[in-house]
Amino acid sequence: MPGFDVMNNQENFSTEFRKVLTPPEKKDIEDFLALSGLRFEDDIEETAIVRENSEIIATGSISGNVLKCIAIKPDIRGSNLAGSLITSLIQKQYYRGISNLFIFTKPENSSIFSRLGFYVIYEVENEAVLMENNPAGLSSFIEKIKNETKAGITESVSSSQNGHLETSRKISAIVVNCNPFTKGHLYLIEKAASESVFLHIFVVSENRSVFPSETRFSLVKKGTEHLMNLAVHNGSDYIISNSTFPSYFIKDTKKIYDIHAKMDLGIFSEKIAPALNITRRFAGEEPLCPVTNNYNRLMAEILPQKGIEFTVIKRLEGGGSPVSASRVRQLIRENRLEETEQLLPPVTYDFLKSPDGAEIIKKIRGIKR
Amino acid sequence: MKIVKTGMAGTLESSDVLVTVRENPGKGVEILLQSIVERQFGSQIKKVVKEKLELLGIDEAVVQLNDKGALDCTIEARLAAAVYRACGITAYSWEKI
Repeated sequence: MPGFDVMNNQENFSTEFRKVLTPPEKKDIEDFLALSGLRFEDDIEETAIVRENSEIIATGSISGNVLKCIAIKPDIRGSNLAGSLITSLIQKQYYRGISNLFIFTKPENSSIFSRLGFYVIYEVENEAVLMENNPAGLSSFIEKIKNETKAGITESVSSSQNGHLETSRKISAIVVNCNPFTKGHLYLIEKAASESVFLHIFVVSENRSVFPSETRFSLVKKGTEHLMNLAVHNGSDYIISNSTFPSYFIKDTKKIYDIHAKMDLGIFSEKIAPALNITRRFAGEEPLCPVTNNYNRLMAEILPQKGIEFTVIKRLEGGGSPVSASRVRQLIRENRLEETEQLLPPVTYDFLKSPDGAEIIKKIRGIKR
Repeated sequence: MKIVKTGMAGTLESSDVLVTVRENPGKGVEILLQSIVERQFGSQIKKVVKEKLELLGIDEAVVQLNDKGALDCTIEARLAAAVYRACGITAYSWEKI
């Protein structure tokens, strides 16, 4: 990587990046953020600290392709310190090979970031705004989805019209994490596909799950190859996982789930769905996980308001309890791999038996719950 | 020269410009300018960018500029650096730069 451009900072400011903060430093940053009503988040990878002499006057952090926990000392705002700070963060990201950047912040701060080259993708009124530095980011994502879909969708739409036109069957979508892909997911997808002219499957892309994004995606893709009227897409940055949703700026922590849902479902129903003619969304019934169950409840509330029909499919049961990815992980943790065979499609079970699978099994057994 | 990745150069400091160059297959040159002096110098900045791209042999690219009042020579230098980075080239043609 070539050297980056250093313009001299205002003489007495110094900016340093830290991957690990000592407990006192972390406390200083937390206290500094608190002055602006912000919290430090636990998935931060690097933090920029701007000091004047020894006093912190600004900070900002990076996590994946997100810039967050950005704050500037109130009495020196307006001195373009924000410009220097954001430049440092952008350059740091560029060194790491990341050039498409996102910011989640309060709506009243969006004008600061738009002056620094960020564009609003979506705003949850009065609560949160998502911004990106590439104005064509979302439209290229939609373009990519269309390209991944082309062959399939024309075939399935025309074949359904050749038979008899069923107006009740729609183009629909389902968002899955599949950590890992189970017979339960397969059942859900088969059922949703059978009730749709065409089904878009978005696999959530985040690196918090024990099965990496690429693995989850490729298992779903391989495991649904027998179904013609669907396409599997990487959820990319526009299907927002609650595990990675930055909420450092949301004061009332009880509202985080709601705001996340409004953001994620707003982008889905106002930006993605219309571009792909999606009018229905499916989800699996969620009897076990309270977070997902709550999300289903929010989908039932929000999606119909935005013109998207929402359908919950009852979960497949196996051996007296619902087939779920968390049950699979539990069995792996308890060294009962053989018992997962009845819960998993061959593609996933075979993967678990592969060397890559063995690595993940080790990781799962290392995790304490 | 062929753009193979996103190239960036410059800063958001006063009198500088942050230039981002992305590929734009089959869609020619697109310039997205955000400048504090857009009304006064917007067309001049675009002219500088177009001429420099031509000199560098780039006919397809999205060039995004966030300008904080940079002089033409700064814009040219930042643009050239961003283009070379986008093309993954470190052997510069000094005459063109």
